[in-house]
Parts: sequence; C-alpha cells; structure tokens
Amino acid sequence: MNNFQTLPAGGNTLGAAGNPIFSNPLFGHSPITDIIEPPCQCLRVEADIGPMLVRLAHSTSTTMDRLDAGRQSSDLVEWTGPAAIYFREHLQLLARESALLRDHVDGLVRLGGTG
Amino acid sequence: MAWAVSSNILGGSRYATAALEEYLAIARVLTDESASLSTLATSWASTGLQMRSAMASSLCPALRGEPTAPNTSHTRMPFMRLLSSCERCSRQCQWIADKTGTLAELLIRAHSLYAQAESDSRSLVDSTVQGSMTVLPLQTALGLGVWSLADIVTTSASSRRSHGASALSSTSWAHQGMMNALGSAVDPLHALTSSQGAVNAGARCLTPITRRIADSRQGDTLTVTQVQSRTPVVTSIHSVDEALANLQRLGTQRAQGAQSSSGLDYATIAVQHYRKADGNSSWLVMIPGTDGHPDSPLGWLQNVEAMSSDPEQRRHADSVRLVREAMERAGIGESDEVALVGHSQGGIVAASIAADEQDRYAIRHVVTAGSPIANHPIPEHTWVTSVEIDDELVASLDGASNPQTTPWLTVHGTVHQQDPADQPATPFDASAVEGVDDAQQISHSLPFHQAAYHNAEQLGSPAVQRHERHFQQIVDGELVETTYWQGRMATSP
Repeated sequence: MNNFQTLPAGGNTLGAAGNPIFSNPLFGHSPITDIIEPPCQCLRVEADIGPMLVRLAHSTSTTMDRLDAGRQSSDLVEWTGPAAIYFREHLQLLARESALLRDHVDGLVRLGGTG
Repeated sequence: MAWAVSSNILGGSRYATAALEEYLAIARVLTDESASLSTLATSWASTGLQMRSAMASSLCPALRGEPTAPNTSHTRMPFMRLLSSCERCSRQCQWIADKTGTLAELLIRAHSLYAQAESDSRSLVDSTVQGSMTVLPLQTALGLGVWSLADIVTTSASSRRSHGASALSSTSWAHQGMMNALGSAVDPLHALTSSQGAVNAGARCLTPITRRIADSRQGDTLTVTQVQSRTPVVTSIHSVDEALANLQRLGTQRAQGAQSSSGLDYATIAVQHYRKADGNSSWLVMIPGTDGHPDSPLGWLQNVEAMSSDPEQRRHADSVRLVREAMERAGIGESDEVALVGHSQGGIVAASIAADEQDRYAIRHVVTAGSPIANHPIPEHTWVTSVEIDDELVASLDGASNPQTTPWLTVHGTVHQQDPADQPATPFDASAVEGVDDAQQISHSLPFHQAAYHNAEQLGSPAVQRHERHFQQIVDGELVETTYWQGRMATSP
C-alpha cells in the first residue's frame, strides 16, 4: 500500500488551501480576521500541513490495526525453540511499540487541534 | 571476516494445506504491513521536512513559535512540537517496519513457507542448464566461464577466496544441471530409462573402467582390522549435532594419521553400540569422507562405484565393503536399529548401505553431510537427514535435488563472510563456522555442515525437530562400546 497516494496531490501548491475557508476545523483556525487583511503565509502552511497530518494519522492507525490483527494470528503458529521464543518476545515488543505509536499519533492530532 | 552459514530447510514434513495457508497468510500480513509502515515512515519524514522547509523560508515568526504582532491573524498550530512529533512518528514507524519484516522473514525461513516455489524455480534452472549444455555445450561452458570471470573480477577485492572457490561459488546455481548433462552424455540411453538419475546411470557406465584402474593401483583385497584409540575420539551422543561433532573429530584424527593423539589413521570408521532402556541394542556407524591414500578403501575412484545406479556395483565398492564388514564384525543384529552418519563419500556409503542392505540390517536413519545421494533408492521407512552447502559442488554431483518428503529432510546452507562488527537482524540469521581459518577456501569441510545444521536447529523448524527426535530415539540409551575399524587395500597374494 502506498500511503503517498492518500496525500493531497500537489501539497505544496497551496491555491485554494490559502483561503481560510478551506482551513481544517480540527486545527482551530478562525477565518474571521482574514476578511479584513490578506492572510499571513503561516495560515497557508497550516492549511496545507493540517489535512496531511490528519490523513497520515488515519493511515498509521489503520496500518497498526492490520498489524495488530496479524500479530494476534501469529500466536496460533505451532513453533518451539530459540527462534520461536525470540519471535514471540519481539511480537510483544512490537505490541508495546505499536501502542506507543498510537498514543503518539493521537497526541499529535490533539496537539494540532488545540494549538 | 569470519565464516557463517545461513540455512534453508526443504522437505522433512508436510503441513496440512489449511495450516500452510494460515501460516502463509500470517507471513503475508507481516510482510505487507512492514512495507506499509516503511512507506508511512517516509511520509511522516517528508511531512516533517515540508514543515521544516516552511519554517525556514517564511518570515512569519508564528511558524517558529515566536510572538507575533497584535491585530493580525496567525496560525496557532505549535509547529515546532508538531515537527518533533512527525520525526518521532517516522522513527517509530521505521523501527516497527524493520522489526516486523525481520520477524516475517524468520517465520518464513523456520517453516519453509516458500519451499515449493524455491524447489520449482530450482528445477526450472536445472532443466534449462541441462538442455543448454546438451544442445550447445561449448557456448554454455563459455557462458558459465564468463559468468565466473565476471564474479571473480567484481568480488576479488572483498573476498578472501581463491579464484577457483569463487568460480565454484558463483556458478553453484548451474552445478546440478551441468552434472545431469554430463551424466546423460556418458550413457544417453540408460540415462533416459534409469529411475536413479542421469549421473548415477553415467557412474554405472564408468564403474568397470574406474574399478580396473583402482584394482591395478590398489589391488582388490580389502583387509579390515579393529584398531584401538589411545584417547576417546568418538563419545556418547544424543543428537545429530553431536554425531556430526564426533564425525569431525574422527576425520581430524584420521587426517593427522599415526601422529594423532589417538593413533587412529586414515580409512578408519567408528561403530557405537547403545543399550536402550528396554534392553534392545541400537547402533551408530560413523563414516568419514574420501582420504585419497594409495591403499585406502575410501579413495577417489571408489566414489564412482558407490554412486552407480547398479546395486551390485555399489555393493562391490571398497568403501561400502569396509563399512559392511565392520558392521558385521561389530555384531549388529538383524533387528537392531541402526543409524549411519557420513561425510562426503562417507554419506554416499551410508546411502548405499541404506539402499541395498535393508534385508540384512534395520537401518532407520541416515545422516549425510555434503553427499550427493538424491538418486540412491533409500526406502521410505529409513529417514534421511542431508546437510548440503550451496557452493560445495560435491553435494550437487548427483545432478538432482533431494526428494522433499516427510522422511527426507535437506538442510541447505549458504556460506558468507561476516564482519564481527556487523550486527545481524536476529541471532538466527546465520551460525558461525567453528574451527575454520578465515582464509578457508572450500565449503565442503565438515564444520560448514555443522554450522548449517546448527542454524537450522536454532530456527526451531518443526521438520528439523521431527528428524532430530527420530534420530534421538535410535541412540536413546547407554553407550556400551565404541569400536574403530580400519581398512586397507592390497593386491591378492
């Protein structure tokens, strides 16, 4: 799966993204003041990056769901010996890292939304 | 740079189709998600780079988290913290991707999940090389020569191997096909009709010639003598690993000749007698490889006879006669369980006895290291554990892949040089070759096979474990006695 395909085409060519009306509500930007003055460049960057972060967070979460399912299926494999012990120990390690990554991605979305 | 061997396991046990599909599905999920996470890692890193670039190129202080002028509208996104989070997500995704990929690879190797595909592609290559060698022998030989030369030129700076060993290694994929073509060329008619392969049919055709040469040089009278060892060379064993270690010690003593600490000389085999808990006897016969001494029954020419597709020719091979006589004089009974372990020619002899002496002995298990025995007609009730190294040539001299059945397991080792400073992805990627100089040229020596089997054992392959248990059941008992038997050839008086 190529997650680049889920990103907006031409992410750097802002176009309509510079218009605050297209700003992502998740990231809490108010367009009111922009009617009076030309928008600052930082708002265009926000409008560009914000949706990208949301999509990436979603893709990461979906991938982790699939990985967790695969990881749980791996418990069914009949396998003993040093490599099997290593495999299972590292699956547990993966589970911990997977949970950490999920927390981190959630935190990142919240950070963007409340910033 | 130390030598290390990485193993692949073929045959040994067949999973039920449902189990195989299930394991394959798990391996595919892990592999696919590893690739997805790797892509996500790049995407997170790329987003971070975009943010970094925007922060560097924009004059707006809000992007850098600095205070902004009042009455103007600016972003309230904490870019600095988001940037750091993106980079961290990228690192975490990549770590999980790498680890997941490594675990998928481990699962695939330990359970030989792609063995059938590997076997099919190997057959295709063999047929192509054989066809090419038959139709265009000169052009094919020239092509393989150029191939070897290119490999020698490109790897000469990094490899410590000799040019000959490098040439063998680079053309290892063609060895079986070439040998089949050569076998067919020697005896085209019999090669087509023989059920035991073109090479063995060719050996059958060559045997009268090689026997005449051997008899004229060595004579045809074999004398087998029981000899004593001054030191314990072959000890009590409980596993294939330990049996191979015993065989290696026996081979080393033999190579040192009369100067060895044990006093054991060339063409000496060992026979161990075990007493099981139920009182029954079982036996382990250990047979080293070719030594090439002028009066040795384990000479070079005896290889051809032991490889023949004709059972009578195999039985007449001096090396086979040595082992048969030693087994008889050691007192192996008809119903006693027997395991044979051999390296190189020793393995060919073990396979020949397993194929031809089933009426006389209850041969339950054969372990071979670096022996071309794919075409020996070993009955299904005798289990075979073969260890072969990809580029050793000798194991490919049969021109065929070993059968992939439950009683026949093949451990294929691939040799490489490993920098001790390099950290492998898992401790099971390869096993170090013990007791071999870094400049060792040929991978046919037994320590390479020992490392290959050790690696396969470490992987915890269920197929290897089943074979190991089968072998252990035979030697599961108390060692009663080890006897050593030495053979010498002489002209009849």
